[in-house]
Amino acid sequence: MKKNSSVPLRTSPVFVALAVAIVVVVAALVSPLALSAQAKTNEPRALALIQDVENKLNVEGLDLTSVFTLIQKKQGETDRVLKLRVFRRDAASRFTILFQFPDSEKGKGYFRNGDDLYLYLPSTREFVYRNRKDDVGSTDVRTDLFGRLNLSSQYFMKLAGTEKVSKFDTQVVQLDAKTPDVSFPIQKWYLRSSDNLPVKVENFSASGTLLRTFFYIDYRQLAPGKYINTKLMAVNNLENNQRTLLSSDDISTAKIADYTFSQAFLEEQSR
Amino acid sequence: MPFYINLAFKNIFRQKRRSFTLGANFLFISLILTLLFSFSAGVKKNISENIITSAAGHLSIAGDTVVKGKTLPGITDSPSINQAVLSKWPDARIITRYYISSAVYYQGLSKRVSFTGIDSQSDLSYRDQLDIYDGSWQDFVDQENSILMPRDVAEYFEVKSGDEILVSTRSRYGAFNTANFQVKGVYDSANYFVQGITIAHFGFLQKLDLAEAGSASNVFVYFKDGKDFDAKRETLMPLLTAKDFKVTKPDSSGGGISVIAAASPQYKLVSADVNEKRLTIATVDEVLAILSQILATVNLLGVFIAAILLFIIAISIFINMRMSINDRIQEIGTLRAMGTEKSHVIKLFVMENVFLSLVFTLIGIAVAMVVIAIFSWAIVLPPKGVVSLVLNQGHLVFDPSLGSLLFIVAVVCGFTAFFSWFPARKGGSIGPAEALSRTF
Repeated sequence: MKKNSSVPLRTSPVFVALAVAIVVVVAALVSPLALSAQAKTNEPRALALIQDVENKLNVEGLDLTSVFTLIQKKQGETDRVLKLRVFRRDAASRFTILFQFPDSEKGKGYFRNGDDLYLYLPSTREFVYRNRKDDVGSTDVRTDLFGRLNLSSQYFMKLAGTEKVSKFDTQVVQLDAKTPDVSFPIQKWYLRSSDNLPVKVENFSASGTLLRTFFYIDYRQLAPGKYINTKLMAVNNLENNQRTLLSSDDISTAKIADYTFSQAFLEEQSR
Repeated sequence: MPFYINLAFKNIFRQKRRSFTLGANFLFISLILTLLFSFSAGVKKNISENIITSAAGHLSIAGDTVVKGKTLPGITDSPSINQAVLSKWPDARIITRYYISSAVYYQGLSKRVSFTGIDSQSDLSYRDQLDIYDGSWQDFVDQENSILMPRDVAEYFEVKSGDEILVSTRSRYGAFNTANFQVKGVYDSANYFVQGITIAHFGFLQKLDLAEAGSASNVFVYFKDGKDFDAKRETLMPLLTAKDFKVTKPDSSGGGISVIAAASPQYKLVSADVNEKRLTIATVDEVLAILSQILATVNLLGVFIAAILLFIIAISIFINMRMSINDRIQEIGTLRAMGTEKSHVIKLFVMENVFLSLVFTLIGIAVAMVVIAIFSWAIVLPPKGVVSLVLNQGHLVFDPSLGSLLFIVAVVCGFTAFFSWFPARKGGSIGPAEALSRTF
């Protein structure tokens, strides 16, 4: 576009004042957005810590078979015990869970393939498509606990200081969900300073209410740099004295037949 | 008027004991049928009115949204639905509701509670159906996070107006969200469809569910003329299709209820490239289809019982007529000797029974009306639970219609005429000589 340069530009003081005012107002409006945008990015150090956790707890090079015992404790109720056999192949983002105890739950099972989770109900011989965030047998333990961790793609991370959990010094990392397609939009991971393994995880609602706390009590090393959590306690922070204890036994890293990771396997096992 | 009609009317109570014995049967059967038909019509009317004023519209719209193959419950872009409706029916009334079912926590207690979100400024259909005994409607309207709680839930948590409860819900996307609600009223309601729900503000539930503006669970449309809902749906469907909705009708006759039911839906898997705004539109008749089927079954059972009674009455009529003809053989002979035709004798006996059945059927209907009046005005029952489906302000509901009463009269009289015909024909066939010779 051609400019008319023959007319000298004179800047009125009113115009300057107006321009300054506009700049100030725009800056005031933009700065929270900028801050908010800043909050919605990863802090590199926090991201590195979480990626390290994923590397340690995701056993991609191995198949994993184990038996989990869940004991749910509720105030005023007798303890509820569930026993699950878990087949896990993190490399393919798959797992199969078979209910082994109590008899009323026997034959039930989950099969997860990527984001798709199916619950098999032997009574009706049907597979029900479930959200991957399903609670196992109405306990405080979610099915995604048995599969591959995928935190770095689902959350933004930032450091949230250091704290002592039990006898451990921990680095706290806060996770904020990128989308609301996760169970807990806010999480705090307490990572042991000595080996960067989580000892406590707090799950919050979108509005910031603490809903559940997981205590990772013990680990077992499966291979160099690869760990499995063998004892865990999930506390429901909304229900008085409701918690689920989870322990893992009969751990094996032997190769699992491909057929195990299929719906047909669950059907077969329920017969 | 033929002479035999007059004579038949005079003869009704000639043999009093026999007439009253047979008449009692007619009375009983008409009483039962009147009560049954009136009650079933009353229940249907009561439930229809209750459901229309609380949980459904003349057209009820529900839906879900598929985003990249993931199905999210609820309607998105409800303003477009409003626009489509109002463009065709400017005087239609539209209300939107938001439902969630969430865990409520209060002082160590927890329970799953159903919440219904309403726009307290425009959606006043609940207001007149609530008996708020602690707190008030205005207190509820004034505060964004306030709720009105049904008595049962309030008693479970031992909360009263002013108390604050914590609600934790899994939002439509799967993420947990929590909020504090203030109880601003505890209520009773005679409407079964209101009794179990906790009433909240539409916008607050929408936010709790992490849903976008324009999201809703149901859209209810009410038309001023209150008729031709099927035709109106047919008109509305292309208007909504033009606004990028994929619109369907309920799957089957029983599928209408699922449009307004709060039960967790089961979704079919769709491929990741699918993006759809899906709607299902049900007419109020479809919503009530299951109810109509149940009531039709109840009516059928009543008709079956009535048929058994009528069969017993048929035997009574037959025996009565045979005895009556034997007793009145002299009269038959005299009539025949006087030149009365065979057909007139038959009609005389048939009409006697028809008049008898008519009189006692009308008495039966009158007695039924007295019973209905007593139950409708004098007896008050507590409107709690399922019983409230058959109660209006604590009274049992009856809706006797002229059509059903005429039907009962016609059936009983017609049946009587039919079963009187055969013995009457036998009586009429007796010649005058034979009749008189049998007597003398």
